[in-house]
Amino acid sequence: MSRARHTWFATAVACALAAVLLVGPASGQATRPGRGIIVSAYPRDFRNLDPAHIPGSPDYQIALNVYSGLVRYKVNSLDVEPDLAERWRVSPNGRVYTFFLRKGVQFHRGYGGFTARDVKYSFERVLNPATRSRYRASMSIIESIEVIDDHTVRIALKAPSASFLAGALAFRPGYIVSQKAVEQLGERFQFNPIGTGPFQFVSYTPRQELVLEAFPQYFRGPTEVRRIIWKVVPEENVASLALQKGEINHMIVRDPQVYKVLQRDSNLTHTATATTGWWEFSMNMRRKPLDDVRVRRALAHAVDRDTFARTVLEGLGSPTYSVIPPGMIGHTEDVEKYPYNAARAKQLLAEAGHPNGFRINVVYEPGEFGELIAQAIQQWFKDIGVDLQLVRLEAGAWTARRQSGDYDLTISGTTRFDPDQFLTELFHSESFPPGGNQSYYGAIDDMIEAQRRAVNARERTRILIEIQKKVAADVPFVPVFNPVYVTSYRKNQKGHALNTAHWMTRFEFVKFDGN
Amino acid sequence: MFHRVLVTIPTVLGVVTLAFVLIHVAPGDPAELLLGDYVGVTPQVLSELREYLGLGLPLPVQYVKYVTNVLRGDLGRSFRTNQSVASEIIGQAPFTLALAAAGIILAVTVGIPTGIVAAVRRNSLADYATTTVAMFWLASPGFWFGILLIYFLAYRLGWFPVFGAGTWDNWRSLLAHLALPAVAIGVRSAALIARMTRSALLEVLSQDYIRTARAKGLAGGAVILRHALRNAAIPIVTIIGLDIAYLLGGAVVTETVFSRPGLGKLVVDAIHARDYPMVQGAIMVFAFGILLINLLVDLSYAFIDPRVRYS
Repeated sequence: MSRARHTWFATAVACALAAVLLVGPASGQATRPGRGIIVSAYPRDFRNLDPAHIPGSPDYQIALNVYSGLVRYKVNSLDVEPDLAERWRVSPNGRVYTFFLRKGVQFHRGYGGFTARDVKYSFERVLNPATRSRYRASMSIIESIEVIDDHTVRIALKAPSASFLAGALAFRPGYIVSQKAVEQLGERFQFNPIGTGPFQFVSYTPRQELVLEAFPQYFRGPTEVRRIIWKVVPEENVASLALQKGEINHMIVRDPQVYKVLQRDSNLTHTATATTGWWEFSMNMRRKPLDDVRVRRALAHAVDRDTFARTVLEGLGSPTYSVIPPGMIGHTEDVEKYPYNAARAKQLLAEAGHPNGFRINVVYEPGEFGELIAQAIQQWFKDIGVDLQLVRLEAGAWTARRQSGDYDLTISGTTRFDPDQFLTELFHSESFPPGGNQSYYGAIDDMIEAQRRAVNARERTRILIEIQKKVAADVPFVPVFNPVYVTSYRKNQKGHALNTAHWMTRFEFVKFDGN
Repeated sequence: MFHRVLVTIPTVLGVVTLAFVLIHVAPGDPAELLLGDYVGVTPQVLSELREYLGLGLPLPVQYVKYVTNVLRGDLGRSFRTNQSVASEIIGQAPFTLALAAAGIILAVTVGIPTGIVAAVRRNSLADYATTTVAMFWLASPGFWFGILLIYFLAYRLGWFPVFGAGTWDNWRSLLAHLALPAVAIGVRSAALIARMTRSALLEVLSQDYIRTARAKGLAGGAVILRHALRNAAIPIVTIIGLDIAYLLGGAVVTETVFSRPGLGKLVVDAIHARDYPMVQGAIMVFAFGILLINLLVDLSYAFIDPRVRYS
């Protein structure tokens, strides 16, 4: 190789290195946490901020602060209060809702004033099959939407619905979008949300951060929080170090061990809220010996919820027993609880003809609490002579197994805002796999439909209590604990309102006390 | 030379086919994974989504469609984010390349001198010490080491940021964010390069021409650097080339621990979500990258050893 080639080679390598370091996306302004500035961390990146498509957290966390609906959940409650609608009237037959809308509400970024036409557009957009909204089913109770004038809209339902306000309108598909923004932004709308809420979108850098700022014309007035920066930090341990060091000042905590460490830091405060949901294991009632209710009751008696909550969850969960979680309409504690009792469990197994136990499997995805629960039930079952084989699958493989119904037990965690969502999705025979009814439990279809039609709260509560007792007696599944969501933040922040429906922070309520 | 470049095309096509087959054979339903935590989706919604994603078509038809689009330069859209696969890869690549470059620069600047010292002072305390340390780094899990670095250097001492990648318009922040990940990813390579340098040099140092060079009265340093190292360079460069490929592929752990964006994390997330277009696109880009590195390593042979000629 000649000297010339030598030089050529060295130059090429140098240029390649320089290119690597210089080529890169431009960035937004850097901001540090402080008074009025929230820097938060969440393990997962954003996927879709369009209300018709929100896949879950953390996208919902953003939408919650950017969008408003006609109604919204009250703080610390699943009841609704007026949001974009000042008030509403329901027809005597429970099928027609007339909403009277707030005047002078503006969309973010100059997209104009909010009117009844935006309501019609937003809901019809979710209902339009071409939108392919995952929430189409939850809005399909709507028969028609009529704009009476700029500030009045009338919605007719196909049938009376007890969960229309809390389950559909206050939830993700009920957020009002600006027609102009959806049409002008096209595909960019997914990562450029335009709403009427307290915060407006600034920027999104994939796999790094999303920035919001206070919306000066927010209809409820200015917020103390001026800027919110969400960082994508996949490891909760690392996020907790950043929080303690002050690189961030707010985070959602899901790992019991991390929570334990953070509680020792005197610069931090925590807000804990029980969610309306549970982690549970479902028993495949199409499989032997789980088709025998005595066997299912025996397995339920083997579960030591109290010890699990105390020693494993470190306060991030409380024992639960009913299909409808505490805090939700109709919840009752007056159900068969199958308290931890290994002797009783063995006796039931013997009665069912299994004095020496048997061998079954649990097919699950180890994420979040999956692994902890699987290991715990394996140990509990061992005490009563049941050999539980752990089939640990990665998410994709798990969905395939789940959909085909090829499992004895499965483990899952679910949170919902209205009993009808739980019951229809997880306990109606229409929802057998690939749906969410993983137990193949079909004994309460009539009751589920009856509570849905009952607009009278007392009547609905009566049916819901009946359902809870029936499900507890039949034991298609064993709820283990209610997850408690914790948000940890620097002590100067006050007013964190994580209500049961929204365990995520609504930053319009956050105030600052010192820097 | 031209021939060698041409060969990359069938190789990449082979990789694309293999990636296509493997990801489709893996169990899992992209539609259900896409719908996320909202179990309320009905079987009808699922099947509509599958249809929309083009999963209803027979597999060979999907394959032909995919390859045709790739040949047209269209890598498709991510199932997961609905963004163009090409633009997502281009957006993430600089982070991974910067990390791999920093890691390899560190590995070379630490690994080669260490290896030289160990070879020259064979069986000395320095040799044993470097061998032990190298073995330790080769065996230590990157995840654990990354967390240790963050805990001590970023959290306790506060010298570096705890997480993130910095911003491209700020050199200081960029380098500050790059330092710990580069160390985390680079030590293992440094250990490997040191081991390889030591053994390659030891073999060369026993050759006659080294004795001749010494007999001529050349200074010790000159003998090592000009005569010995140059002749030991081919295995060292080969291992560096292989290691860059390893760094690109293994970046995922470092990217996750240090909350850096990058290709490694992109691919792993895509695999978990059964995001077929993204997995295939990223694997194709990786294949190209590794072929390119191999090509550069081969070219460097001719530069190191004048006897090597490509015609």
